[in-house]
Amino acid sequence: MCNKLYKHEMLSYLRKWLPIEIIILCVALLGRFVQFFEADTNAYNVIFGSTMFFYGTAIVVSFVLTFVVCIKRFHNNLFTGEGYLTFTLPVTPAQHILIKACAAVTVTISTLIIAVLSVFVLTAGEVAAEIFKAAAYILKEFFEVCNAHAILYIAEFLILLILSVFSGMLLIYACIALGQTFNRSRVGWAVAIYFIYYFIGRIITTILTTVLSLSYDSIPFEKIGRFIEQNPFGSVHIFFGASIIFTFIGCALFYLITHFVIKKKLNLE
Amino acid sequence: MHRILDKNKPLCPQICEHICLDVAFGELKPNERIKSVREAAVAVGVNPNTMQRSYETLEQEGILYSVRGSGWFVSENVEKAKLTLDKLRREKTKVFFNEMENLGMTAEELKHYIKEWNND
Amino acid sequence: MTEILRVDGLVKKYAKTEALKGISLTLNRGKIVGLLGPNGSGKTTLIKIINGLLTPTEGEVYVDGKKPGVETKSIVAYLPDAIYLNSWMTVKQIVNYFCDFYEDFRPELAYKMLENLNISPNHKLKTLSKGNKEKVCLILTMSRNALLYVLDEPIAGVDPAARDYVISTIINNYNPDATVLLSTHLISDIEQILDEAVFIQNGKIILHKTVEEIREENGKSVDELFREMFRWEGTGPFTP
Repeated sequence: MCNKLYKHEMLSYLRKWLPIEIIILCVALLGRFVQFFEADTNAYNVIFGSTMFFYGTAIVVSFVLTFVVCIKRFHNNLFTGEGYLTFTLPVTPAQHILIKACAAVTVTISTLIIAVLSVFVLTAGEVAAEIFKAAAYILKEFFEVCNAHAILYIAEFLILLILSVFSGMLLIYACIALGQTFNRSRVGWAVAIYFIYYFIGRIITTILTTVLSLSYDSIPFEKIGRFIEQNPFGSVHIFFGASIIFTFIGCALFYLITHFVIKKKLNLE
Repeated sequence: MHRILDKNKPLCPQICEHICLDVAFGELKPNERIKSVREAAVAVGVNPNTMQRSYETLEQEGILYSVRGSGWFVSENVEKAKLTLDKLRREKTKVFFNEMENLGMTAEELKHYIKEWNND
Repeated sequence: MTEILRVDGLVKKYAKTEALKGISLTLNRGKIVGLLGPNGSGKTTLIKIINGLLTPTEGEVYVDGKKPGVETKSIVAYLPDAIYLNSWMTVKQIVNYFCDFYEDFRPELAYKMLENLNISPNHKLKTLSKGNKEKVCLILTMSRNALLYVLDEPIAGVDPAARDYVISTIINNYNPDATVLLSTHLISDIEQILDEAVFIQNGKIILHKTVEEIREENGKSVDELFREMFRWEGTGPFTP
């Protein structure tokens, strides 16, 4: 059942998301094409400059649009007219939420990959070769310095990246779901809840930093410094590990909220 | 079975009556296979359960019989259906007579009317 | 077991109104049941709760002995009162969608019915007329081999000629062991195909009988009885 859900999620994304990505690649191609006419003239500089500006804007827009498409898919497919069909499928709420999140993460990560790919399209030729060389050199150094830790770091980084995207999506899902518990202007409430969450987060951070700076003397900076010095590789693992755990807790919390609302409080309009 | 059903009365007896008449008039021949319950239900526009009940009632009365696996057939004994027809005719005639009586019509006058009506 | 649906003391409160005020109802297998009531009587609310789209304030729903969930959703075929399909999809895509998710879906049957209506599988839903869209929705619902069909106002939006189509599609395709619960306020068009009638008013069930009982006891059609019972409803100038 999950693979069918995923298939239909992706089919619906392809319709709206694929054109965005094709446009990105086309703009990158255009940018590369312009470079064939390189000349030290004002006209060329203006054209090249505006192409680059256009490309940069397109990349930003593609991320924003992808994000919007993901959010809209969740909201429309569950909580508008389409929800009548979605919620009468023999599928559990957990499957709905998780598969929707997985598909959204797939799309977001793909957007990221295509953005990187477009850089290579834009710079295809000598410049791209240089970038490859530089990247290879950095990687080589990285592996030499970190040895066995290198692979772990990359893995930890990728896990953190994916989890962060999940957490971002699930946060939005939770806000949308909580908005549904209201009788009126449910989308408005979802947005409000997002900002309330954001401000509470800000307040807590501010309080924490204030507390920390007030208790400056009691923090054993020296000990921490010494630990990092003695375990340089271990400290990075601890940093990644802690980040992963926190992000995961966030994911779990947002998921549970969404699940609770859909399972116990569903009231389609 | 193209007669209209009166929704103010139970449908089942009406359907039975209609089938009886079809048999009595020979529109449905003895041993002829009749429409399946569902086909008949769709044709008349009633619930299949109602049609099923009607067929079963007629089976008990000996007007239809069912063969497992091949459907419903008209009984060879058409007399039963003709009896129903006769009963119905008598009932309606009685109603008619009663009404005419209320209109103050005598039997002689009625005969006269029937003659007139036949000549038309 | 002959019971397919049981509703126990169902109450649904909204912020200010009470849509259902304690509804209890049991339906057996193999029946076509009309849920009859004026607009705003709570028909759609009850149907949405049976399908798990609304959470009741109080009370329970059991479909085939189970609370609404994956198991009940795989045996209930639901036709909402509004068009709920993705309009960008083609008819074929929607059929595939149903095929993928409902094990009891019969695609050959769906295609046959679509062909009878001259609706090409490659048509996009949004290019179809409103009447055809509704027919496609009905075809999809009736193409399932479900145990309980729940049809919310299947004939409200279609013209009288299409009503016969809808009625014959329902009779032709439901499984004799299955139960059909259909809501409507257009009773005269549909009463011939009913086994039972449930009258609902202001969130309460005020009558639940077989239609033959109604005709026998009252000597009038379900439609007439309905009109009589609901004549004084509302707060118009005729309210005594």
